[in-house]
Amino acid sequence: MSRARVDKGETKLSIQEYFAWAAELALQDAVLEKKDFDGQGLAVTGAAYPHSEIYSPEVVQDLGFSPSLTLRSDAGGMGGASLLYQAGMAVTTGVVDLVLCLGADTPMNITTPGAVRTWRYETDLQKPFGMMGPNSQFAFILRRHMHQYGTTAEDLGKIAVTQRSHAMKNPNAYLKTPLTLEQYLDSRMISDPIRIFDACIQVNGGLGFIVASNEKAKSLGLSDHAVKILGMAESDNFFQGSMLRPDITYLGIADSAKKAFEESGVKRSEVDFFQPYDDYTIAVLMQIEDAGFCAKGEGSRFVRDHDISVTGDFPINTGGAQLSSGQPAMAGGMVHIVESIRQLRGEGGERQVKHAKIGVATGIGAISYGNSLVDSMTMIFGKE
Amino acid sequence: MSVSGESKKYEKALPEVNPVTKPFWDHCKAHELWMQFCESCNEWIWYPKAWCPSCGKRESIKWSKMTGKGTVYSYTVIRQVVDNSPAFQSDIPFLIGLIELEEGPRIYSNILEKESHIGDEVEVVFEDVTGEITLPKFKKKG
Repeated sequence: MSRARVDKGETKLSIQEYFAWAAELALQDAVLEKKDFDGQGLAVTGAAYPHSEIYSPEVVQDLGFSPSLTLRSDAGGMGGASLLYQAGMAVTTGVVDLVLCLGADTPMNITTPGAVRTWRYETDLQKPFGMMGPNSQFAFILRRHMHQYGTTAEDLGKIAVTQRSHAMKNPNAYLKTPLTLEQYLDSRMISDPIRIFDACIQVNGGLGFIVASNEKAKSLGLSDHAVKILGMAESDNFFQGSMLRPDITYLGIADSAKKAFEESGVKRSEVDFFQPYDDYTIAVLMQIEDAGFCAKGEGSRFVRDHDISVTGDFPINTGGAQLSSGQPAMAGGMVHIVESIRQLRGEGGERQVKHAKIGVATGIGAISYGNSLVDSMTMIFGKE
Repeated sequence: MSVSGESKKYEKALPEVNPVTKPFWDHCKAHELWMQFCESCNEWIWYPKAWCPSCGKRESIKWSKMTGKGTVYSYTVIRQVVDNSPAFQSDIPFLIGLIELEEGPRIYSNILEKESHIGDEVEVVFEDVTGEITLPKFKKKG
């Protein structure tokens, strides 16, 4: 994760280099070789920079893979989760046995303003009024959350401060200077009531993971190394209330978490850590509610009453996640998946959650017109 | 070379008008707020769509005039330009509301006030920003 500040001695790499680096680390981790993926699957998230509609063929050629299946996601923050879901279906149905899932993006390399185009309704009906993308969207959501439930900046500050403390224990994190609640409260407003420390920090970066069928994992001798998907569900264009007048304090996690928990048979009380997609602090708080760890509107009280650090009773975003380790734009949704895998394997180092056996991660993406976010995925992982 | 009295070039983000949204912008140019209505569902549709997102019919969509009155459902005060026209910088701080119109739909637009509150009653005003585009904005009622 790098801000590509060459003036500060930071590395500035291209997206090609991040894809290659992520692929190398994923293969090393599984002790597999590039040729093991011939005739298998390759999955890539989208990229904000360089923006390219036809993209997976480019990555396939850049890396020299000859897959018999390519998967791609355009679900923004849900992109990583979407690759996992698609790859899971591909190995379950037997189309392939293995899928190498890669995400990389280089938003810090954008030199042309307007190089990133978004969806039609943002261009036509949000930007002309001066809306500033997700900063503004989450400001509307947070304003309602405060209005309906009495949520305060202090509650959100606790999330920001705790995640920073986790990033300080994560060698791959970008922000590693301590953050205090006072500093959080003093930080400047960017889209009132959203402060700068409520928002994730964009970085260049790359991540990867490998999805295998149970049989393939066994034949490769990777069963002990692998983490199991116990339940997984997607819910898009969810609205609480009516489509025309939804309650914007809800995310589709309210629906996808319900299904994923039902599928897995896991109880909320059995969850050892939670890695909710964190483009904003309020998104974390909303997902504690929507995933059913407390009642709607009681997220603030939950955060106040619980220790959400890695040594606490409800560890959240144990590697600092996007708020502090960084958001590699369209690959940001990979962060929560990779951290979940690390934790369940006991590879969390200083930030390891003790005896972690079951973890929940989410992906949410794409700002809506008039609702919260469009896409939501809940993933429940386990380790024997 | 600029001609004396010529209006300054509008440098902020502008919508790209397409066949689906054209009626909306045409009505705005005439200083009227119109939205789509599904005669099959008996419900409004907003933003403009090519079929009714409730019933999935295309022919049942008609355009209809709104009163332009509503209340503030939520709002934000913009204090930093991010991924939008740098020209917005000179307006900072400015307000954007998610306005719930009295007919039901919610629209994002500017609230032309120094401050706002959830529940404030507002009404539409029209700003001719270019020869082609008129933006519907809102101010406190009364």
